[in-house]
Amino acid sequence: MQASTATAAAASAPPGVAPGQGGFDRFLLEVPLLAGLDAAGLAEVQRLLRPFDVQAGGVLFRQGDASDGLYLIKEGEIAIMRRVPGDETVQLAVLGRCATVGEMGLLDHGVRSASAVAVTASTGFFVSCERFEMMRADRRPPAFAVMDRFITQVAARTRKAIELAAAHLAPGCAATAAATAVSVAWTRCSSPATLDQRLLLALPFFGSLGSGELRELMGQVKRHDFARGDLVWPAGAAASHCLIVVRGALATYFSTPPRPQLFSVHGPGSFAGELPLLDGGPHPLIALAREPTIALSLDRERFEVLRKGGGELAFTLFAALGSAVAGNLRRADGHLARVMPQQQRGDVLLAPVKS
Amino acid sequence: MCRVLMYQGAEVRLDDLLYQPDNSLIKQVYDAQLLKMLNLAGFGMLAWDGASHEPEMPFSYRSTSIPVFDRNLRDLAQKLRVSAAIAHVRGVPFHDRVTLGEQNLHPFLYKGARIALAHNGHLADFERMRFALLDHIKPAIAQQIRGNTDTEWLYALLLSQLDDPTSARCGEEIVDAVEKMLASIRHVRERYRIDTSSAANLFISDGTSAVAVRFAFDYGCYDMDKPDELRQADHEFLSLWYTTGSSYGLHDGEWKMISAPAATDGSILISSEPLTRDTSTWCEVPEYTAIIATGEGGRQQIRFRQIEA
Repeated sequence: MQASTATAAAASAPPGVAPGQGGFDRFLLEVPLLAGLDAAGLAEVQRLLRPFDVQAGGVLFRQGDASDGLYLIKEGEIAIMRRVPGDETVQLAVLGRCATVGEMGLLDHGVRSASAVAVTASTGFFVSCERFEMMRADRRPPAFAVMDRFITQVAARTRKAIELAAAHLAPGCAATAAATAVSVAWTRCSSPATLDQRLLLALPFFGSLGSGELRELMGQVKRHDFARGDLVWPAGAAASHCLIVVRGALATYFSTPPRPQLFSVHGPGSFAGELPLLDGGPHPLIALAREPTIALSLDRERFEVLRKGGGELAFTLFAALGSAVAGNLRRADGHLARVMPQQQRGDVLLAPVKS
Repeated sequence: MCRVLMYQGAEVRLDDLLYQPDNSLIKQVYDAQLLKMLNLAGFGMLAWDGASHEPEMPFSYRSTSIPVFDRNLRDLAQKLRVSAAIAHVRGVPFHDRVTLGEQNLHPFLYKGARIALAHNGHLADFERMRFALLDHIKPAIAQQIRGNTDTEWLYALLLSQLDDPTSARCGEEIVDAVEKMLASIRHVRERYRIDTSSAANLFISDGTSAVAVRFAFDYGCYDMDKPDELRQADHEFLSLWYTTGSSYGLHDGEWKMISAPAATDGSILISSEPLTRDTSTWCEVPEYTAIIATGEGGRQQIRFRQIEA
């Protein structure tokens, strides 16, 4: 028994770490959010963790509360409940071992979009926003690896939420477009040097960059001009760039028959198209220029270089991407809250989602 | 830049809409949660009471006084029960080119017309394009314009899109007219090369159908030659929120809509921002979208329609 346990532990330990070593709780090896982190990354995460326990019926947090951190479930079940117009309550999911709850607030510092209530007595770990920010501010490579992993997992959850919202908007139809090789050529391309840096620094995201970071970013992007109504990418297309809007607005739409339905609008300082670059999937939504738009594109190759971290720009950029991904997740939840009460009255129990 | 609320549904006391919630419209005069601006240029309201004389004609109240200090308004609000209302607190830039006056208060309702309109937003360079809009306004309607706000011209344009502004319209017909109105404005903007962001959130009601529109011309577009004049309003889409339920009132210490078991949505509240600091029972209206609420048989039929203008 002991030999097989040791063998199992060795098979799941990160490279270079012998069983029993590492400075972290072995439970972290089971957590999908942390998959791929090396021993240094897992030890970094361990430093953030504080244990929690809650009785059945206990409330971890309430919808509308300021976000104070993330919960990682080790034992038990936590129900995610959302209030909607009419003061009805919708159960969005029931989460169990290895699931994370409340991660959006760590990325965008927004309020809780739902309540978390213990279905059974539950234990696990809590990561406060404060500690997460301290890790982020530290700028050390293990911290960057944790942040990247975290954002990628939230991106995957965002994709599922978009698919769920699409399914509710057009029941019986394909949730989002299947992958396609179709892409769109952006014809009006030029150098970003034509843009006044004073202008950029007055915009969201760009305003958070130092002058050196802005110069570095400008050296890696291209400027694109879109006319109102231009197709930026079709749903299902493979992603080769993400865009940062400088002027105007891009809009993304569900591919729902008989006509596409609006998912989100991205104005100055906003990102578009970051989801597929983060999780490797196709664009889940159509993107059009809703207004005459100037945007900067960052191609996949440069994106992956920045993703490996190490510089100030990488940290600032990925903090902004995290906020963008969380914003899209909130947006998908908002569509669900808007659509679901119209289709189903009273309390609704969705198919439980257990990780 | 104004704050507005619109209500339709089961009868409620006006005081419960205007004053009671912790982010009430009256409090938004000086402490709006989603707008960093004071709204001191007056108050206007239209409210429908089915039990009153000529019920299709609303009560009307307008005053350039700051409503926080308006005792008459408070007394009236505590007595009136209404089934529909549009109420507006006006916010303007603080300079002497602005005209304060009753003729500039929203919502607008011309004599004989059925639908009323209030607006949250601002049409850039309106002074330059104003009189070009006359080409799109019926003369009999243009003669009723009294003030100098962009909103009143929007209203005149809207009425001009209807075959007969004196007869009742369903929500979809109102949205059709809104799209034509917005298209007219876009056409004039293009003629005058006006291409900077102009918010046009609209609140339209006739006491039976309520339509609210969350829209902006050239959202996110600003003068690139004047980077020092870039404002937050240039890159934020003005908010519009709603909540529905079978009734509105004080429940469990909260002002909110609730749904009774087996009941359907009988009431709707639409406003620039939620009337409570706890926004968990409110939803945002998506950008470039109209929300249409039509009262039929004690319930509100609620639909969303994307605006293509």
